[in-house]
Amino acid sequence: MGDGASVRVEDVRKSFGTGDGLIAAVDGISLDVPAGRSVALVGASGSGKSTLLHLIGAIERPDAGRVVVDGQDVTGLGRRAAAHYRRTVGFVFQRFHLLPGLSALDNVLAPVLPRKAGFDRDTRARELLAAVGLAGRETALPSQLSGGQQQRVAVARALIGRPRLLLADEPTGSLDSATGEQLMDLVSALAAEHGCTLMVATHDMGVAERCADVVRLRDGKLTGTAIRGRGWAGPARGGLTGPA
Amino acid sequence: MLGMITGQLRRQAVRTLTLLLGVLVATAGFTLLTGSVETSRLEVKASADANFRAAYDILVRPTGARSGREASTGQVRPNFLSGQFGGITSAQWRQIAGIRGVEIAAPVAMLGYVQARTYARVDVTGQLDPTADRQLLRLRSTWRTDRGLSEARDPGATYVYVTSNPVVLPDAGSTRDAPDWSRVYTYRGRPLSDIGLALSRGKTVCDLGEMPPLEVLPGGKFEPLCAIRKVAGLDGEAATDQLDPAQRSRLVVMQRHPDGTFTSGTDVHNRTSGRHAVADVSWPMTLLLAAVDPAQEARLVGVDRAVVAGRYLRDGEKPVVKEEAGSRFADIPLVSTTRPYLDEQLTTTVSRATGPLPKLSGRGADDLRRLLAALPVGAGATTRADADAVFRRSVADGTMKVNPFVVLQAGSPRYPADGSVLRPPPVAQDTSELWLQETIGGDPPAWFVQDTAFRPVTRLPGTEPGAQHFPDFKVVGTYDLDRLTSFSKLSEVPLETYRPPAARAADDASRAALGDRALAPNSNPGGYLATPPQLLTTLESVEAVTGPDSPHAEDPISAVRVRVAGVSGMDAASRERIRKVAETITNRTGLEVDITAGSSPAPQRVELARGTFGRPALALTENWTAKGTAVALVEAADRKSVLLFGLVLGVCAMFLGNAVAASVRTRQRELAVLACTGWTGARLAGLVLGEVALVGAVAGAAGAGLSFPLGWVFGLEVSAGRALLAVPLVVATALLAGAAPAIRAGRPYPARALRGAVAGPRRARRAGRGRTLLGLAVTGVLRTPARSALGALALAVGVAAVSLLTAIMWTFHGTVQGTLLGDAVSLEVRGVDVAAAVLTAALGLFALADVLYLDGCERDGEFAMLRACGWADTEVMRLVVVQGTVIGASGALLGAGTGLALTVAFTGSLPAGLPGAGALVAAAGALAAVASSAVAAGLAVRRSPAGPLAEDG
Repeated sequence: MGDGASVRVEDVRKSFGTGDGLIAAVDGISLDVPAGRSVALVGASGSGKSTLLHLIGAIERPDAGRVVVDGQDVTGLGRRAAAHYRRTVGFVFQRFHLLPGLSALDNVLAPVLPRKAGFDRDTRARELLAAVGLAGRETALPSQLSGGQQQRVAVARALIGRPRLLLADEPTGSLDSATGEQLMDLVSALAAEHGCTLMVATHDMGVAERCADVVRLRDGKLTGTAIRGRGWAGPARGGLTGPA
Repeated sequence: MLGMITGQLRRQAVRTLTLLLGVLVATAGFTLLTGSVETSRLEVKASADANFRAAYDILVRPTGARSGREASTGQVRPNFLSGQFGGITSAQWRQIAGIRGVEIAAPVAMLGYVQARTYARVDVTGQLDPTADRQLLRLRSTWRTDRGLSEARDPGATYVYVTSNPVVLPDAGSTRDAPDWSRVYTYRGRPLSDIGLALSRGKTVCDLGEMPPLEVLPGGKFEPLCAIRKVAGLDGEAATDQLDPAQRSRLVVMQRHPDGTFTSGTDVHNRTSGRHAVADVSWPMTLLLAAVDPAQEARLVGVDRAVVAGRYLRDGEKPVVKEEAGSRFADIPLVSTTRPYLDEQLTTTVSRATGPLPKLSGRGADDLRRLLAALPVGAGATTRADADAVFRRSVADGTMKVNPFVVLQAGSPRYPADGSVLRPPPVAQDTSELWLQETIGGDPPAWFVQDTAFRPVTRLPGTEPGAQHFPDFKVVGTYDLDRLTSFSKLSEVPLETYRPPAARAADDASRAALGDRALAPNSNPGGYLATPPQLLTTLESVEAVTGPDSPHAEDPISAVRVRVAGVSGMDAASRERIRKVAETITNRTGLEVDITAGSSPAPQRVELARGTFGRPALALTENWTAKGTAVALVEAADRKSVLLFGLVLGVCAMFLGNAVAASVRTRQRELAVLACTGWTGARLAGLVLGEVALVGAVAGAAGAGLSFPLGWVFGLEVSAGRALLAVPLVVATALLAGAAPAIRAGRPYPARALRGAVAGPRRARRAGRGRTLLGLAVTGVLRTPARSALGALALAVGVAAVSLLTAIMWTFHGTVQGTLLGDAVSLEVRGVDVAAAVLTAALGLFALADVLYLDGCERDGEFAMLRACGWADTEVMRLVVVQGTVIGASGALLGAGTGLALTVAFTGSLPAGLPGAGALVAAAGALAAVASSAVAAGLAVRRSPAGPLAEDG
C-alpha cells in the first residue's frame, strides 16, 4: 500500500457565470492536506465543497491560485495530462453514475477499460467487489442493486486504478442514514487500507466525524478547520498537520 | 399555451435553431427536389419529343416477319429489311395507303443482290518497252476487305497484249437486232465477210459465237485473238461456273500506233484511244436491288431531291420490254447510289513478260491461256484502288453494268439464344451453284462471295440458267445518300432504309485488328453485315427482275413504311393517332404492324466467327434498334418522380420524429411537473405538437422562401404554388412525425419522471460485454434501442435513397438499355438525381448525428464520470464514434438492402451488378456515419465534466 497523496491548495478561486452575473463558488481557499489523511469538507449547499473537490481532481480549472498534489501543480495541466493525472485519483459521486447497461463487475472495470493496467484487472475488480461486500453480485446490473449497493460498486470503481487520492462528493447523499453510515465506514476503512488520502464533501456531520479532519466552508470561503481531538482552528489557512 | 410553447422554444434556443435548420433544409430540398423532378421529367419529355419521330411512324411487315429475338427483346437488327423478301401484296399496300390518317405509305420490295461490273483503270504505259513491236503485260489482282483483315489473290490475271500490228475490232452491235456476221469485221472499209461467217459457224479456233479482235499480221493475214476464258455457247451448252479459276483470266488487246497513241476495246463502238495505255481490270461488286414506289419514296425520304446525275424514277415507270424469237428482253430502269458503301480495295501488280514473245493470235482459248500463264515475267509495279472511287467513276462515265442473270436473296442470320452476346453461326453455301451462269458476257463475281456466310443465300428461280428471260438494267440516274432527308441519330430505325451499316469493335483485340475503324459490308451477299439497297427500281419492274415464277410474284413487297398525318411529337394525341392507324392496319390486313415512333438505336454486342480469307474472329458492337424507347423513358421518369416524392417526405418525417422524440425524452421531468400540476394528457400532447407545428411552420415558410433563390442558383424552376404547398405539407409531416412522441408525452408517469431515474435494461446482458470499447458501444446502442433504431433508420432512409436512386437510374437506363436516346436522356437527368440522393443522404446523416448528440446529452453524466475516472477525451470520443459506427453500419446495411428490395419491387428485376453497387453505397453510408459520429463525439466532450457531476455546491 502507498502513503497517499499530499494536497496543497493555494488561494484558489473559481467563479461561475449565472444570469445575475458571476458567483464565486470558491473564493480564495488555501488548504494543506498531509498524505494519507482523511478530510471532510462540510458546509451548506452552495458552500463550494464539490467545486473544491473538482478543482483538486482537475475536473475544473481554477480562475486563480493553484492546486499542488504530491508536488505536482495540477491546475495548469492540459486535457491529456489532466486525464492522466485523474487516473491517480478515485472519485465517488452522490448519484453513483454507474453505467446502466454494464454489470457490477464491468462498472468497476470501466475506468481502466481503454488501456492496459499493471495488474490483473478482473481479479482486482472481483477483490474490490468482495471488499465492498458484493461478492457474488458481479453480474448484477445497477438496476438490480439497491442504492447502497450501487454506491459500493462506485467505491470499488474508484479504487480500481490504485489511486493515491480518493475524492468523495456527498457519497451518502442518496442513501438513508444507516446505509450512509455503513458506506462511510467502508470508504474510510478502504481508504486507510489502500493508503489513500481521503477527501469527502458532505453536509452530514455524522459522515464528517468519520474523517480525521474537518474543513468548514461557507459561501466559497474556508471558515474553519478542526483536527480530531484539537478543536477548530482559525479560518485563514487550513493547516491540517495533526496526527491522522 | 402559446406562451409556453414559444417560451420553451426560446429557452432551448440552440436546440430550436437546430430543429429549424433541419426542417428548413428538408423543406427547401423538398421544394427544389420536386421542382427538379418535374424539370427532369420535362427534359426527358423534351428529349423524347425531339427524337420521337423517325422517317416513319409505323412499319408494316408480312406475317411472321418478326424474329424470335425481336419478339422477346423488342430489338431489331440494323438493315434487317435487307433480308426480308416479299410477303405483302400490292393490294394490301393500297389498302394501307387508303386508311384514314395515313399520310405516306411507302412500299419497299427487296429484290435481291445483283452483280455490278465496274473497272479499275490501270495505266500500264510506264511498264511498256517503247522499242518492242509486240509485248505482253500480266496484271495480277489482290483483293482486300474487312479493313484489310481479309485478303485474297485472284487466281485469274488480266493480260495486256500490246502490238504495233493493226487490230480489227468487231461491230457486235450489228448482231443484236439483225445478226449479220458478214459485216462484223471491216478493215480499211472492206468487210471481212469470210472471217465473220467462219466465226459464226464455229470454223475457227475460238468459241462458237465469240467475236474476237483480229490482229493483222505482217503479210496481211488476219488472225483472231481468242478470249482466254470460256464463253458459254448460244446453243445451250453446259453452264459456266463463274468461280472457276480458269474463267477469271482475260486478254486485253491494245494496238500501239506509230504516233505513240494506243487504242483498245472490245468493239468498234466501245473502244478508247489515248496517249496512255490503260488496262481495265474487271471489278465486280455485289449490290442490293430494291423496288419502291417513286412518289411515296420521294415523299418519305426525298430520294428525288438527292439525285445528282441523270433523273429520278418516274411514277409507274415500267421496263421497256421487247419479245424477240421467244425471248423477253426488258430494259429495267434503275437509280444507283453514288457510292457502293463496300469495304473493298484492289492492289494490282503489273509485270512484263520477258524473253521472245510467241505468236498469240490463232490459238484456241485453252492453248492461249496455258501459254500466257507459262510466260516468264519480270519484277512488277503495284497500283492500288478503292471500291468507292472505282464505283463512282464507273457510274459517272456510264461503264457500270449490272448483270441481270444472277439475282440472289440473303436471309437473316440466326442467333442462338445464349445470353446477351450474339454469336451467329456460319452457314454453308454452294457458291459454284449460286453463281452458275449460262449467257454470253457473264462476268465472274467478286472473289469474296466465297467468304464465310452468316446469312443463307438463295437464288431467284426467275434467273435460273435456261430461262428465256433477258432483263437488262439501265441506270437512269444516281443519287447521293447523304442528301436524303436526315433524322435524329437518337431515333433512327432500321429502315432509315438507306443507312450504311457499321459495326464497331467491342474489345481491344478487335479494335487493334480493325485499326479502330468499323467493320463494313463487302460483296459477299451472305456476309454478316447487310448493305442498304444501293440500286432502286420501280415496283412495276419487279416481275422483269424476278421473272414470273418468283415465289413472291404475287406479294413482292417486303414492308410498307407509314407516316401518320398530324403527328407533332410524343403528345398523347399524336400517340393515339399513330396507335389508331396501326390498329386499323392490323385489323384490315392482318399483317404484322410495329409502331416505330419513339424507337432508338441500342448497341448490341455480336461475336463473329473468323472468316475464310484471314479475318480473325471479332467482337463487334452493332446499333440495333429498341422499339418504343421514348415512351418507356417518359414512363420511367414518371415512376422516378413518385419515388422521389416519397423519399423526401420519408426523410422529413424521420428527422422530425427523431427531434420531437428526443425533445420529449429530455423534458420528461418538466412534463411530469406539469402533469402533477393538473395538466391533462391531451394538453401535454398538444403542447408538444404545438411546438413541433410551430417549428415546422416557421422552418417550412423559410425553406419555401429559400427555395426560390436556390432554384435560381441551380437553374431549377420553382413555382410559387409548389413552394406554398410545401409549408402545409411540412407542417402535416411534422405533426405526423410528432404524433407518437406527443402521445407518449401525454401519458407521463410523474413520480418516475420526477425521480429522474433512467430506465435500465430489463434483463441482464451477457457478462463481460462491456470490457471492450466495442462491447461498451454495443451496450450503449442496446441500452436505448428505440433511439438507436431511429438513428439507424434515419441513415437507412438516406442510404436507401441513394441506392434506390442508383437502382432507378440503372433500371431507368436499363429500361432503354444501351439505347442512344436512353443514354442521352440519362445524362440529362443524372445531375438532378445525384443532387436529390445527396440531399436525402445528408438529411439522414444529419438526423443520425442529432441522435448521437442527443444521446450524448442524455449520457452527459456517464461520460463525465468516465472522464473523471481518467478517460482521455479522445477515448470518450472513440466510444461515441464506435457507437455511431455500429448504428451507422446497421442503418447503411438496412438502407442498401431496402433500396435493392424496393428496386426489385418496382422493376420486377435485380439488374446484374446492382448488389455490388448497393454494397458500395452501404460502405459509403457507413463511412459518412463515422464522420457524422465524430462531430457528435466532439460535442460530447466539449463541456467540462464538472457540470454533470456536480450534485451539490
